[in-house]
Amino acid sequence: METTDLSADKPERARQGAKGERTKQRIKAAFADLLAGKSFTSITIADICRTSDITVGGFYFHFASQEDLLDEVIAEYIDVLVGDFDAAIDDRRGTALAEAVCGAFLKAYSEQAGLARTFQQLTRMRSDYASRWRVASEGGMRRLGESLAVERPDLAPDRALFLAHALVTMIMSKLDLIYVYRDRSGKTAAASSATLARDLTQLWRRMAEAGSAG
Amino acid sequence: MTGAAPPDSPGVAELARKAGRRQQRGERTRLKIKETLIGLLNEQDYFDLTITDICQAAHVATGGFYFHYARKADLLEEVIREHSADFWTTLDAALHYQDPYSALFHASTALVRAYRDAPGLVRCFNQLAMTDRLYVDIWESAAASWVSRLVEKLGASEADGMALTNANAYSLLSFVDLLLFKIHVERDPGLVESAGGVDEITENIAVLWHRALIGRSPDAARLAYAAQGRGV
Repeated sequence: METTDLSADKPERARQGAKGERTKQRIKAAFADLLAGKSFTSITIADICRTSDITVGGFYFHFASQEDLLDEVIAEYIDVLVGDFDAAIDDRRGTALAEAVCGAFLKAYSEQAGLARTFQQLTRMRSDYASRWRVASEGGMRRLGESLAVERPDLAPDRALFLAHALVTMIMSKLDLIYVYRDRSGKTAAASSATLARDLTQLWRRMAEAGSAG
Repeated sequence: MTGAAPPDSPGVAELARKAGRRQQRGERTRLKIKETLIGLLNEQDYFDLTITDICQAAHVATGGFYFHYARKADLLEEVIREHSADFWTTLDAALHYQDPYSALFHASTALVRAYRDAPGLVRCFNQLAMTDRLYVDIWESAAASWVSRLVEKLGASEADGMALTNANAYSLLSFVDLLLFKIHVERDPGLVESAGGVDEITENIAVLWHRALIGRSPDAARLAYAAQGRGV
């Protein structure tokens, strides 16, 4: 975000750029921290400035608006999640595939709970965020379908893709209950992440395997 | 009311009839307003809808609207409460089937129908649930009670491998809910294309639900689409 007119001196400009980048990161980190405790609709620019210890002018130097900040933070969250999702599919089959994919989503939700919650809220409330996720995860979803089809030659190709969507939806719906809705009934009381990983993997295996009809 | 009026008074019976007609007309208007809202929500976001939009589409005077509802939010709350009540009644009926697959298949049918018939209302309900605790509670309390009865039913029939906890069963209802949301409300093209028609969706969801809850597939003889290579 450096501007060329700051100085003709290149090392100075680079330093300015690095400092600007650090400030920007600080703003994003502060926003992510705030999201862990509050809804994005109730966070103000003043909150963000206070938490990241910058001026309002400093904020507007880096971001055109709070919407702009939200946009960038969510884009990064999606990038990381989709990257982890893609990496989890690589050459894996059976339980290893189930564990890796469940692990990728569990990591996103547990390590970035505020962002995960905000992202899920936005995809439910606004169709542009839903389509962003769709576009970003399309390739991974297709590859997951292909991996599932290897184990289940009985599946028609479109049904393998349907199963891939269903499995990812199963993971997200369970994690949403714990991290997004924060169910007060205690029905989904936060289990340890090891228990959660085991439950998700087992549900995946049950759904993905046709098994024997008893 | 009857005994109080003098026998020669023209008023009482006549007034009662008029009041009855007015009430009927009032009910009709109320119903029309509610149906109009459900229709409009399929085209437009709830937050963008004005009372004027609703009145125009329903052919009701604005005064008529305000006779029945003080705010747009009151109308919506009534519509959602009525729809939820109908929805859970149908889901409750599914639990009367003896074997687990029949119960899940009928529950799946009810869910698919609810999402397909009023996608706009479902979208709106989900939007509000993100910001208004009231709507989360409307869903949560009914869902928790339904799920515990489902678990009771299945627990009596069998249990192998993973213990069937209320928490897992509850999250599986949310799974069906979210999958149908993506199909009928978000209309994710990749998912919609791979899912097939409504009847295929109903069966395949029931199969996945059955497997996740019980740990094995339902009897293949009962599956129409699986037999045609269109199962999951």
